[in-house]
Amino acid sequence: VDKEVADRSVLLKNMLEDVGESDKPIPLPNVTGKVLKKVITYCEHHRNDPLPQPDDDLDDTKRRSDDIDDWDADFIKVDNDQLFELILAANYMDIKPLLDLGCKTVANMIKGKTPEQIREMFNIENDFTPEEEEQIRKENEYVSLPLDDSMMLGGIACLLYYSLCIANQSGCQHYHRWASES
Amino acid sequence: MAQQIQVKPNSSSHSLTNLPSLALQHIFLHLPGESLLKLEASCTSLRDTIRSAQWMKSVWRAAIGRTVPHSHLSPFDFDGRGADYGKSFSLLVTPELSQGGAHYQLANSLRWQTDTRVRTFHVLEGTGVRHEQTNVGWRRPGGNELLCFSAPPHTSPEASDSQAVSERSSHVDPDPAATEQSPEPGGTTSHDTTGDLGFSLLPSPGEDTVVAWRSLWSALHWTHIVSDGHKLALVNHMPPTARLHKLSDTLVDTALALERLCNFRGALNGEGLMNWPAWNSSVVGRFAGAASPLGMVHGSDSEDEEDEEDEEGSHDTPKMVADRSDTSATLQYLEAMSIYQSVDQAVSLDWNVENYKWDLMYACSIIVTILGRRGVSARLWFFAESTHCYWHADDACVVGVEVLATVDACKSWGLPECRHRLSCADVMQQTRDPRWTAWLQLEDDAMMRDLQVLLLGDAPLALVFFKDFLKRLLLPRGAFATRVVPAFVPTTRPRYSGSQGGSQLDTFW
Repeated sequence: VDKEVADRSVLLKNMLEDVGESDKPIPLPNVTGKVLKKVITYCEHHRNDPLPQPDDDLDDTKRRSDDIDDWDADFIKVDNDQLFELILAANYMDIKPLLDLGCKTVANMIKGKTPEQIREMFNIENDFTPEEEEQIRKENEYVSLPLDDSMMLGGIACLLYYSLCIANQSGCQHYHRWASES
Repeated sequence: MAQQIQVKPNSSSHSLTNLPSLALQHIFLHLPGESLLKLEASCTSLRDTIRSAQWMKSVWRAAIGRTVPHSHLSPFDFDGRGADYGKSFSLLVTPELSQGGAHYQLANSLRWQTDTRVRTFHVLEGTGVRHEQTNVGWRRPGGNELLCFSAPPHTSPEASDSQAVSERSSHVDPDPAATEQSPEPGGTTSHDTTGDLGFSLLPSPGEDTVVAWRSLWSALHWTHIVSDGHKLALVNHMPPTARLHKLSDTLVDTALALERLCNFRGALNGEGLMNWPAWNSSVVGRFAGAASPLGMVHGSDSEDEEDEEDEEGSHDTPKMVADRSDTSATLQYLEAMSIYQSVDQAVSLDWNVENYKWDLMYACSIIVTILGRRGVSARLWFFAESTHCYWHADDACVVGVEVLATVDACKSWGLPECRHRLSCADVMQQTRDPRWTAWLQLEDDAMMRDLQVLLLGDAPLALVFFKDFLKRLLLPRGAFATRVVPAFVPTTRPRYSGSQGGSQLDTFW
């Protein structure tokens, strides 16, 4: 692999700087051959790209997940296992653009999915207890309740209240005033 | 290059939960808040990860960086302890995060972990759409929100003077804990739990409301000045515990104006623009038969400053303003208008404070929209006591409009100390009351600078301040004599008699 290709990986770059020029192989124990081949393909394609800067993390444009170019999008069309392995490899080898690409892809997969769909997609076991699930539901209900639902609930509340009023005649006047104000 | 190949017995063992933290962090940063919520609800591991302080820090930081180029909202602290007691921090939440309420989730998480009190600003950028009002408040999809976290007030912060304000971090600091600051603009009132801010305004709730509406009305005028390519930050504020039993005829006019101002509800949702000229003639002109200075705003771009004329004696009649460059006349007009809006004309309306609150927000959103249409960056913010109960009638509630301007513009306006931030002391000097909570911040360490004015207090004082501020902006030579409209003079009357409103604000700020 060309040095400039290898230099896309901060890990390799640092190692090469530490050991100097050498014919000795560099061990990458955490990366499979298949994945490494993909990684090298990626690095070769992006060999001339500017290296990421530390401040890029705060760059607004880096936060987008819909800006994947065509080549990258095609490159990352892999199954979930390989996708995760690429992310792990990019993380291990410290290749930020590839890590970012993988994470954007995962993020795009998550968007719009329900918790159940997310579990199914990523082999996640639902280990919540019923109590915890109820707690989560309560925590989220006031931010996820659609307006129509809240209005429906309001209507239900009205009916309930009205029923109570019928049961207790003294409350009816209050109800009517309240309803007219609404 | 050689590599050792690791044989993986079962590749399907890979799961989202097995990804390293850095990778997860990257994924979270790309997720909108709604998806974060869904992800959080998928399993305990992801829930805990997302809720952990470090994740929040990263997410929030990204949110800030994404929303405000040079955030004036830091400092913040999301290390495991959250804010120390007596400290606070604010975060601006991007639409991605706010959609679905992940910010609430994160806020709750933080509250659980740190005993930190969470208060919410709702910030709407651009247009606000009222029908988005839900049980979580008035929130526009795509709008930003500002969460403000505040620790219990019993420990007074040390760095609560104007210096602390002036040292507010102007950027997203990589080490939030190291930049944690007191959030209190003036510092002197922030933890005063007496419930009395020391100055009061009006004796009755109804008049409170009138004043608030008046300030809104004035703000609308001032908005005009801002949108005129000039310079002004404006604020509107609804006094806590205001109750709407009486409204003056003026307020009725104002309400009608707001309704008419855009056929606003429809315009916001579509491509429609507000019809300013029509609004000018039909509404503003109704004020005591006065002609509005607003109608001239669409004229030339000339910004010639005119010499000051004798303003005295003209405050009882709104003055015709011949040109938008006649800023002193505009000021005069505003003052005169203030007097005209007499509370003696109060009438009873069957509005409740709830409607009023939303209408005030609605009105402010109009301002923001107007500014936006005119290329002025502005945000509407809404402060309430808690994430849950601010729609209740007795909640403390502050609505304001924040205008952002470049530092170059500020320099051109003759703002002093433009290289750095205006200190709170400087602001308070304007208001002559050290308990005023207000701060200005100017930043000069980047291309785009923000001028932020944040005021909390009662509207009349806000107007006093802004009036002075306006004078300083438009008339830096001091030719415009200070003349405070009587209705705006702060009094010593207790402000929030028998109500929790004052203490609510006190404990927060």
